Amino acid sequence: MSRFLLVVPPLAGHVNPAQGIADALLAAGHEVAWCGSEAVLRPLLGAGAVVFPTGSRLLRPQSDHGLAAVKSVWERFIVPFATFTLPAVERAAREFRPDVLVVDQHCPAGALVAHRLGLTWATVVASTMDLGHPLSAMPQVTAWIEERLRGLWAKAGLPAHAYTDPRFSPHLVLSCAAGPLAGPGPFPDHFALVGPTVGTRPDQPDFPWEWLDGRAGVLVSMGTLADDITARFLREAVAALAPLGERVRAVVVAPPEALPPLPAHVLARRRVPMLDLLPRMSAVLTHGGLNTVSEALAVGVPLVVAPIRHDQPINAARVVGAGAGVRVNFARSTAPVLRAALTGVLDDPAPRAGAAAVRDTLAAAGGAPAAARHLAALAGAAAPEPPPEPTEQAAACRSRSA
Amino acid sequence: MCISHEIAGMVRQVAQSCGGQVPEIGPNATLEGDLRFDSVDLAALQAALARRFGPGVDLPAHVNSLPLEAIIGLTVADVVDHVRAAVAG
Repeated sequence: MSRFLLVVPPLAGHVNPAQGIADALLAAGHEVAWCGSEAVLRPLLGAGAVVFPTGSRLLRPQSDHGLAAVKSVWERFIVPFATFTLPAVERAAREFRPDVLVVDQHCPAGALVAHRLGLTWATVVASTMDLGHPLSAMPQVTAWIEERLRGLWAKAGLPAHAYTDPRFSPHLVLSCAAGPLAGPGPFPDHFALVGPTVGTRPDQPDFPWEWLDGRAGVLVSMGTLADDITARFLREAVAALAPLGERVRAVVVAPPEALPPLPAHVLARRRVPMLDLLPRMSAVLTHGGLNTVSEALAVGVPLVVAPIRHDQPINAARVVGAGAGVRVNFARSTAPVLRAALTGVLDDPAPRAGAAAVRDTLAAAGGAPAAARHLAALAGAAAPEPPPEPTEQAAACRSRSA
Repeated sequence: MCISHEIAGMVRQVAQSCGGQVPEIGPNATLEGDLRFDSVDLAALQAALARRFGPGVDLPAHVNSLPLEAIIGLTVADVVDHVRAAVAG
């Protein structure tokens, strides 16, 4: 059995897919530890997880969109977070002595430590921002990003002639985006597009299941940005849903106080048990984060995507390309435009059929158990049989390691 | 009508395509920051520009060739300059 150290950023959207991989590794009898911000990881992973803390630092808010958001995520988050966490990641790697470092694509510190210590490492792709070459048409933008990465490489004391892109392990790249969501291939042989790696999520919120009746369910999930533009969008979304009471029950994931007064067929919840709720939905209106998009399509639910920034416009374009939904403008769409998009997705069988096709592709991609098999093979262990009850075994392993 | 006004009108048309009303757009308005254009909007503007000024205008290709800061700061006046150059060339 092998030892895996997972290096993740303090973002639920990146920790959740890594947790699915960790569950599958534990279920197969491997040892798993985490390196990241304990304040963020602990509530997501539960008390049993082994966490090597990196400390936390205040991240400046990023409310831009477009290329300004790409610039700010690199300048204000990826680069300073890598610099800040590098010593802690190296300490964790020296102490835990993993067979493989499992590194989130946007945690270059993990890759730098692997190269400093001569460890085998794998990349986990939890966002499509750097998958399928979405920026390849912009040579000066890709060069700007590479300059930042080469700067981190040099700062970590690594020789320029040995430069390896810290976003892509030369050994194994596990992508949580699969099928049409991964973008145009071909991908190198060491890329495994395993698709969504959903794991157990402790402390899921309650939900009034009896409130959902025979009417079509619509989920509105726009992420956690609490700015004016999001507030405007949510007001328009509620107004779009208002006349649809005879045919729709809608759940809006947002603090109720952030919304106007709601009609009886619209329910606001701060948090929802997403994985249990999605199979009950007929359409999802989302900003298009990879997890929400993948989790909805994994159960064949078509989408209306209103992308805000980062990989969301890429995901939106790929959803449209797969015929699994439609795209609307986040900053400007009014209630009638959103209503037309939603009723279109509810009434037209084509997006549902498109979503069903993506569902089948994702089901065949293998998910977390496939990711664990690839990692085990990389660690030199024999690929174990997929376990019958991963979640129970994972829980047992986790309490043993606590 | 001068070309600057005409192009500002096309930009406004694209910005209003999602149901809202957009006030008059000045030459210094940035596409990405002020008007929150995305790639879909840019493609719609390109289609309008190519219809009016011919296929020599390729705004998305021009934008893609720029440095990061220049893409972020691209204004309506920059679009006008690009169209003028493409038409003259």
